[in-house]
Amino acid sequence: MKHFKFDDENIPFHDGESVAAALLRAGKWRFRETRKTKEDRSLFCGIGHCFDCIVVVNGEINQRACLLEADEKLSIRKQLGVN
Amino acid sequence: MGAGPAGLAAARILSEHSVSVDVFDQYPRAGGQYWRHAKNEPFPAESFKTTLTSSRLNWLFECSIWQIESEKSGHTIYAIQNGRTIERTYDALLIATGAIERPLPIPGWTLPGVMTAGALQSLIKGQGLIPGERIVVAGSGPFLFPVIESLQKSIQQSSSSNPSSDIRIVGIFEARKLSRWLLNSVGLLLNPEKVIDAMRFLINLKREKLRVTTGRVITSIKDTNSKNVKRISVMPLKGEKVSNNPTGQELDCDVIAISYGFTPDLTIPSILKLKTVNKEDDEIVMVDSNQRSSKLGVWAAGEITGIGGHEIAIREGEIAALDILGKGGSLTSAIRKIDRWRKQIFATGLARVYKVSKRWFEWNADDVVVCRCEEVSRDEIINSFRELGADSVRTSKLFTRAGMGMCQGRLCHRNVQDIARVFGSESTKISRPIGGAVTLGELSD
Ligand SMILES: Cc1cc2nc3c(=O)[nH]c(=O)nc-3n(C[C@H](O)[C@H](O)[C@H](O)COP(=O)(O)OP(=O)(O)OC[C@H]3O[C@@H](n4cnc5c(N)ncnc54)[C@H](O)[C@@H]3O)c2cc1C
Ligand code: FES
Repeated sequence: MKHFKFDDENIPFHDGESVAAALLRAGKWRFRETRKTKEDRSLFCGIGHCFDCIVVVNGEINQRACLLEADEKLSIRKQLGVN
Repeated sequence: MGAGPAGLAAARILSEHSVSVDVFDQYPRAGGQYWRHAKNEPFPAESFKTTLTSSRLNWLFECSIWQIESEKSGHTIYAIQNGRTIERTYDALLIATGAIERPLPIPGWTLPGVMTAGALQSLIKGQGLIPGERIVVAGSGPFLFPVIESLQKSIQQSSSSNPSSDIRIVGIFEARKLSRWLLNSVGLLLNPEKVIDAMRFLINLKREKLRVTTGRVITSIKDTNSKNVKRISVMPLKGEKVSNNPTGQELDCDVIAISYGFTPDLTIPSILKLKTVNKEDDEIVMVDSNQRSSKLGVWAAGEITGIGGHEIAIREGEIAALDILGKGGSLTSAIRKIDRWRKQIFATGLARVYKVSKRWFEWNADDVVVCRCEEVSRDEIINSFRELGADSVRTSKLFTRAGMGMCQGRLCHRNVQDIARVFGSESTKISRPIGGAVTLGELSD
């Protein structure tokens, strides 16, 4: 099975699966921490509307995990506040 | 704009004539919300398969429209695809950009594992994933039915392929009582097939020993110490108020799917400054019988002209396409208009049956986060009206930042609107000059 990186772990994924679905399948529910209260957030709307699922992808912040197709070239980080 | 049921139905008719058509959608494939499917799955609607391969249609997927300029010479769309801006001018536009789901704020609704019913549906239908083991579906409205159906179906599949899997729906809570269906008697008489659908659904539920508890709402969601398990409190709703009689109940679960229906996504219509009207408390794009909007050369179809489901969306898309082709007065169009009328009566009735109380924000005692992006609470928003002199969603936003975050109010606008209607004024029109997240680099292109 193919994998992408999430922080220091390898997350397996199916072909065509979204990053968010692969993370949830692997039991990773905490995608980011909010700016103000440092609360954990995760997938909420699942279709790109709410921006709650944002992660840092290959250094780029604010990427929606629910819209992004999983790929071996991705190195993903939990987004803490704004970066 | 939009390759959901409305946009596709229009594209199907247009592809049968010699006009040149571009179809934009921000998702990687066609289908919109209703025909959502996984990448390697065939398109779910047989009758649209030839449309998808038609050489007359030019598909622009993963292409987000963020700006439109209208001039005499035509309407220019600006969209972003793979980080590059696309700029094209057209003589006719059809907006079919659909709706946004509407969850209501509940204390604890920001915890991981709480999601919209649409999110659960998209994980099941689009990703083949049931994200938990003890699932609660709650809220109000007819959308809960298809979500429960797909959930049941995929639970059955997962237990037949893996007998040790133990995934269960532990609660279904609908805020409104069944007796309110009397408000839709005319709609039901005109659409008898809907009665059969409902019976089929209830029989299915019974077979699985599930039941919908009506007249109940979740009033709090709390994290337990155990991994990902949450404890919810469910209370009876009497009229528009939460009551203590009979007493409520508590329940443990790991996934909670919430939906209180949909609200039209007015992002693109507001860029074009299209006229809107109020329908059962929702702002919808105003159209005439041929789906023409208030702006010349711009048509609108599907959920943005009123929440009604995929069948109405298809009819509206077809009626718009026929009018774009100059056949708005044809018999083909007239037949579709009659069908649209019959279905709209049902949809309007449904909207009445499941109307969300404007005073939902009094259902829980705790101070709840309303704007998830900027973490703004109910009390801060109410305070902006009571103490700071806010009188509309917009001025409240300036005081509190509710609606200024990454989602640009998509999730909270409708809910803040209700608070504004109680404490402020009705002038709550959305005005948003840019239709999505754009980087400065993309802008400078
Ligand atoms: C989350 C969700 C789940 C739903 N699930 C169901 C279901 O399972 N069963 C059911 O009967 N109904 C469901 N509905 C109701 C649904 O709205 C209708 O049944 C039907 O899909 C409406 O068709 P439409 O063509 O009006 O809009 P949609 O199907 O929503 O299509 C709109 C399309 O426009 C695109 N779009 C929007 N803005 C832009 C932009 N700026 N740039 C480019 N493209 C854009 C979207 O990507 C989308 O594909 C759901 C609605 C939502 C919001
Ligand atoms: S979950 Fe809402 S944008 Fe990804």
